[in-house]
Amino acid sequence: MLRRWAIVAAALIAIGGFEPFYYRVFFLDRARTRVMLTELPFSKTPHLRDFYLDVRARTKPGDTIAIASRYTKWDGGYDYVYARSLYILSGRHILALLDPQDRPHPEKLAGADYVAAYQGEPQIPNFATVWRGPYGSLLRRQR
Amino acid sequence: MIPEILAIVLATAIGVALALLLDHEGRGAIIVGEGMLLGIASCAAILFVFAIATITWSRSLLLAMAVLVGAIAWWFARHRVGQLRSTVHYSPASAIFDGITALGLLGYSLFSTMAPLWEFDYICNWGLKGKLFWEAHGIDWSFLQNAFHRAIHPDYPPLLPLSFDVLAVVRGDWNDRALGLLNVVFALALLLVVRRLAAEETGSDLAGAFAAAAMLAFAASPWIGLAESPLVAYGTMAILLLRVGDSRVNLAAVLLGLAASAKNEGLTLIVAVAVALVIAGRARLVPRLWPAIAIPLPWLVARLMRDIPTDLATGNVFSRVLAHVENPAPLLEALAHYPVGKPLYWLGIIAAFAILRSRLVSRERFALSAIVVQFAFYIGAYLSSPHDLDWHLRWSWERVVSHLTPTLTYVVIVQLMRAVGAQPADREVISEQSVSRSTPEGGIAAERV
Repeated sequence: MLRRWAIVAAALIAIGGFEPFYYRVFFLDRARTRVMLTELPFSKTPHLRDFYLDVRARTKPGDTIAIASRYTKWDGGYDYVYARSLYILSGRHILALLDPQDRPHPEKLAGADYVAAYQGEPQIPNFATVWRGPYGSLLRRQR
Repeated sequence: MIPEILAIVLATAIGVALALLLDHEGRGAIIVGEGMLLGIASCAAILFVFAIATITWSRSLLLAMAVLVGAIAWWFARHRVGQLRSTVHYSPASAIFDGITALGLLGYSLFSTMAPLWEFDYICNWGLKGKLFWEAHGIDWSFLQNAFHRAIHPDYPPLLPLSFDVLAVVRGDWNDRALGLLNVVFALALLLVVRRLAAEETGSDLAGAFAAAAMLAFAASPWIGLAESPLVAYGTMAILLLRVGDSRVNLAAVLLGLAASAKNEGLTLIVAVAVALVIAGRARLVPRLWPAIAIPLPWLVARLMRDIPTDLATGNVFSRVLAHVENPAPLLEALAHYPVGKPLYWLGIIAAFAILRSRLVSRERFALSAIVVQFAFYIGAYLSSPHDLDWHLRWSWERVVSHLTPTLTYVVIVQLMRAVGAQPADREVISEQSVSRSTPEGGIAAERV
């Protein structure tokens, strides 16, 4: 009797812990899934990844880049845009122009070489647009 | 991905020699599994030493040092090569379960390397640090000291980012699609050890194959590029090896130290294991766990010396604990709300305890005590959390439970297999002698904002 119940329990554990996805993955449309997974961390902000890749291509390691976006609340979008800039723009110093308490910090622009403006092209004194793309613009400090 | 695969093969070659030196009882797959984990960690440690010594990372330097470490280790291990031969009789019936495991692992490797790693915690924490270190050719202390975003967690230990860097240094470029291979290595290493150890313990090759198949989803973490995978591999392997005998305490202690170098939860795991040893009547082994402290210590000291902030200890920890204890409703509600895995699995675990309660409690006192104490640490971390509890549990609860389920699954399955009638092995478990977002798809659907 014990033996029978032990088999049942072992089967429950094995079946309950079974992960069908690791077998279904062979039948997925891999090209489509790759695109989906690549965009997944950026999915709430269309083309943000493309925008940052464009910014990366136009800046160099060591540059200081302030992140501007139309979001004026930290938890209402700015955090999302800012946090995702760090990985793609690695090697650059990234400045947030808003803090988690939603206070704007325009004074940080003084230390920026560039402003990466997602979905916008703000007019900022001493900065001029050096690149304009479909998903945003890049402004550089005028010397 | 050829450079990354070559890097992993080289690391494994070094690690196998180290495993032979540290594990005098291991045979065949156990040594290979241990070697994979020790090898990756050794190469990461070389980069860490370079960073501390302010030596700029380069492929030639890393390879030279790795070959040197490997050559020395193999010189000392040369008389133990015979241990690599397996002595377990292979049962043809095992092929079914081994096939299920191998196919699942192949699917896992496809999934892990399908795209540039996508997890938020990879992009803002583990992968970010690895990429920054790679670009700086050393640890970017300035970034860690001035980390602005809360998700960066600059205090978290560096084993995983440095492991990413091992692959990047060997390739000479950052390829964030290939980094998922490390998840596969960690899973494979643990499964190799489980496969062989369960066969040895039960005296049945079929039981070993079944245990490995049942453990696949627990070893193959769905969080690709996150530190859950190395923590589970190092931590679980340490407990499983320590569980079966005193002679492996040195290796277990090293693995515990590496678990603590993968994630802060590994530090509490050291304490949990020490307490569990005392509970299991093996207190004499506790001092021999010193490597578990010595291995993460350089990072802890460096972190302290460079004023790298940590969030759980910020502010008044005591008042937060007190507030949560006085009003436990939010914690309890959150615990009840967020899933811990599949109900059928937990039904099986409950059924196993109902059937084998006394056997499990008496024979698995060490492993079960380690699980319970570590779980208590997790509850303590939630009680002291400076974050909103609902938010904190939402993004961590399933992951922290996944740290403990591999060990739980293993001990329960092995005892069930014994009850089913597998012949007991020569060596008994030492305690006898001495006294949903758990799925990859769920994870993708729940990608945070």
